[in-house]
Amino acid sequence: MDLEEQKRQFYQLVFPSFPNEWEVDEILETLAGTGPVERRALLAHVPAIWPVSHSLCFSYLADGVRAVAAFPLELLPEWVRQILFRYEEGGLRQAREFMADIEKNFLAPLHGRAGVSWAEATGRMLLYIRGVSGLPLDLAADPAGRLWTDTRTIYLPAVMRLFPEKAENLLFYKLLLTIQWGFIVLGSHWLRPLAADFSLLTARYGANAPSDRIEDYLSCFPDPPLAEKVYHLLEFERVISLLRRQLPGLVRQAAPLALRLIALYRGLWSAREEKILDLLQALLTPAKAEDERQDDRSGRGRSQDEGLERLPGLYDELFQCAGGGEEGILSVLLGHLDFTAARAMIEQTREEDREIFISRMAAFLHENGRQEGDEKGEAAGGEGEADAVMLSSQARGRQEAREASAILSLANETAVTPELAAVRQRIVADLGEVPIGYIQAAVGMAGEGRTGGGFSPSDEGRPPIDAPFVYDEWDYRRDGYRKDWCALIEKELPVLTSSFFPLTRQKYRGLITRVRRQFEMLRTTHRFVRRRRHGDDLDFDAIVEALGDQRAGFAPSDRLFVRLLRDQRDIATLFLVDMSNSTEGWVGKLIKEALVLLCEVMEVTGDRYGIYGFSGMRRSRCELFHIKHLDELYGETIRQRIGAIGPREYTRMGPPIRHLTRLLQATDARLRLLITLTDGKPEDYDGYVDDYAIEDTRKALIEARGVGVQAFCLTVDQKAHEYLAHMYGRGNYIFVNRIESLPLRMTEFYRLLTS
Amino acid sequence: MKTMNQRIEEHRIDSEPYYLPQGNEIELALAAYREQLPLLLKGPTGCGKTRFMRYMAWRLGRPLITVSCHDDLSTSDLIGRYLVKGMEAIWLDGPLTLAVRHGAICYLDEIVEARKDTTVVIHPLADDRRELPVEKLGLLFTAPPEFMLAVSYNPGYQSVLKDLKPSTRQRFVSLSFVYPGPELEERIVMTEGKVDREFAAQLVRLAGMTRSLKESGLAEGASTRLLIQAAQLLRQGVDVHSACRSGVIESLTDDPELLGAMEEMIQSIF
Repeated sequence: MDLEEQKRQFYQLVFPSFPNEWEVDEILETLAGTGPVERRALLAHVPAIWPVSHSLCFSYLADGVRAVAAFPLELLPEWVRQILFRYEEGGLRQAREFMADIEKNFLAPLHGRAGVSWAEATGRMLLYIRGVSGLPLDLAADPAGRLWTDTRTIYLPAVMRLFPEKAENLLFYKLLLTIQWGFIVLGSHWLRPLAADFSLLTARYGANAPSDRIEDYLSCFPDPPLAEKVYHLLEFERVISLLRRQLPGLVRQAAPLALRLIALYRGLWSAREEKILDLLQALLTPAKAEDERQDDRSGRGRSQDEGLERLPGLYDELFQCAGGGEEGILSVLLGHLDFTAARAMIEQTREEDREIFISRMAAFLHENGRQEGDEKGEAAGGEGEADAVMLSSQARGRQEAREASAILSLANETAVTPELAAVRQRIVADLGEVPIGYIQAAVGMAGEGRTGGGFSPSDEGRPPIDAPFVYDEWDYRRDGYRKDWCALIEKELPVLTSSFFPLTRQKYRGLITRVRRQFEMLRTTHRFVRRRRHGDDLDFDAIVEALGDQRAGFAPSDRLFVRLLRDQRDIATLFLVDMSNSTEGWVGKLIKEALVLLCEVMEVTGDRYGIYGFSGMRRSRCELFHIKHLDELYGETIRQRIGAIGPREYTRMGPPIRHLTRLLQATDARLRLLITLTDGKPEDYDGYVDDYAIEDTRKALIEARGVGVQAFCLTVDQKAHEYLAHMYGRGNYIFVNRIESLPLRMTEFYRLLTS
Repeated sequence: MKTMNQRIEEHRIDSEPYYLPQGNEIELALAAYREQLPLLLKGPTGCGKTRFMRYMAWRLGRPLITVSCHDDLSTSDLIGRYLVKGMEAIWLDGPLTLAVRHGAICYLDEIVEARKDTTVVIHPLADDRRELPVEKLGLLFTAPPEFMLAVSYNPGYQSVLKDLKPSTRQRFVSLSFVYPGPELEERIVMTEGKVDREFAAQLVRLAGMTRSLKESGLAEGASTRLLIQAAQLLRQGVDVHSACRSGVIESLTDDPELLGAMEEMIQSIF
């Protein structure tokens, strides 16, 4: 094949993009060194990689030449999958690093010679640790291969190859991350030593710590890294005793692995390391476990303070052994205690919780105050209402801490939102109680009539605008609508011919067939309806009843037949798709794939459905992109429009929801559904952020429900946020954190909603 | 006209069902009974709603007539119908009429499964009229003070087609059930499953972990009923891992990744 022909093919693959000709020439020259079969195989993956990143695609082709020489072609799809995974995780650099060494990074882990790769373990382990901890923890591979945690994310080495068997490496991964969870749950990162601990140190070494933080305490020792190691060891003792109590199966299975590792480290380093190995071995051996079980019968294991009491003694013991600053076994098994990162994360979480609590509590007080005002029969609205809020707020503001927490517990029993209850529970778990300052701040905020911070649409006071569709917007601070505030324009998406549709259909061929079958069951819910005037068979029960009635002197019913009825699914659904710029990359691609899958299977049900995308910037330009009207036939044009969905600007959710509600209102379907698919919080350029945006979206959804439109949302995000429940209402949303599962989850969600 | 003799005594509960209160639900239900108000029990599957009703029936000394609702349930199925016996038409009370006639407790389990046009027959019974018109008999029954109507449903269902009509919902005193706290649940599993405390505690820990997966794609975590089931398997000599796998996690999901994660939890706990 000549170069021109190849070039033509390449441009076809990447259509509608038009890359520089010299770049294409260069890449095709590199490919010239491979055989035609290999070249075709390499190019077959271009449509999958090109939309993700053009630079990645060029790198892929350049390295691909070496790759097809290094392994059989059947492995190519797996290599591409791992490249894309690396890219999503760590960007272009990480993907390039991965491609650079094919043998080490791809082939060795694949053949099990190098244990388990992070990518293989993460799905299962993430769910495992979230279940075990009950916390929204995340897992990540540490680029430097270190093991540590900032208390919200646990960082682990990217590859585990300490043991020959894959299962052993997987188990060891599990042990490592469970140990890190142990440090989190026991608070090893933010322990505050007692005054007695400090005075002991001053007496010994004459050093004074600048604060009562654990890191300052440890820095008072003549050899702070050693002191840290000792502290780490003592904390591990507490962790292992916790694991023995709560997860005895894990300790039973994984401790022998750790002991094998200890045996491997014997004789490698200094006497001090040997001593540490002795201590670890003692902690992990079953005999020790038995003693501890005896100890634990009575209570809940050793306390942290006991640990610190023993610290100086153990420090001295190890200090006397010869040794230096080796990393040693502790870094492999226990990792590193990063006090600074953990403290920053804890403070960040605490601050976030504080803000959420204050704003939600203020909203709650505001709401309650208003209700009380109404109940007292005061003048509705206007100053009377505001006064009632002020009065009740001030009355509350004067209460002491004890009484304030009484309000909270009272609130808990009344109409407190789940979000407020959850954040309160977190604060109590962290600080022991809700600080009075938080409550005072909330009371103050409620009294001022504002129930949140960080909102101020910048064009306050400007006149309303005229446009094709104009919608009001809810301003929760004024508890009212801003009249004719947003202009919405319906737009057409350009029709694009691309390989997106056939590729997606190919990729999900198996899934489409399976889901189609499930959806067919929806459509053909054959149901025998009894007591019909006409039908296929006699309804025996009805005949007996009619006979009975006749004998009893009643006019018997003439509804004596059974008929097979196909359920009429009188459903109209509109899908609203987020087209904001945050959906760029894989998220956007999978959203599109989910839509293709959905259309393919929706056709089977015969339900009426429409698809719209939305984006825009500022209130004067909310854009709604028409992809499929409710009654439009699904065909090539629609597929091309789906292919043309792409990231645009911001996410102002209120206006499109109101617009689609209006469209649904105009239909005569028995069940009207509005399903929004988005990847995060509503947000726009002109101050449509945080509480303001959440409250407006919430209001738009409430309006929709008010006119008989059932509104549901599917949110794609790294983790679930509490505002989701507030915004959408409990049970009205699902949250998808594994983006790969979106296409399946979306169709399942629809099936669940309508069956 | 003859009426078939139906034995109400069969519905009486003689021995005390095992029930540990989670809060003040017993007092609330007793108060509702005294005030002749109907009860709505809501909560996830297997958290003890049906057991609670059995306990209440025993406590009040009233027969309990339970109807498991399904979408083919007709009004005649609830109220009653004529049957032909020999040359005679004989009236057979439906469970609702039977309960009203004898001052029993009528419990409609999973009421959202019944069609909405069927459930409206309970409306006149569920408000202050407490009446049940039986057209075919030409009678209007007024429920005696001992009669109580109770319904249950699981709000976890997300299908919009399966929700209670507000006009039905707003006639009831609602009791919300959740899974019991760990210590309470431990005692329940111990007593019902007849296993030792340590194993009960481990099962409860497993349940807690599966319930944490709700945000990660698991529709519902393990119910107390499933834990008891696993305990019963264990008592029959099934090994602990198989008992948990077949008794708990396999009944929760088919998703291989979630199953894998829960398998890791079992391996870690036991």
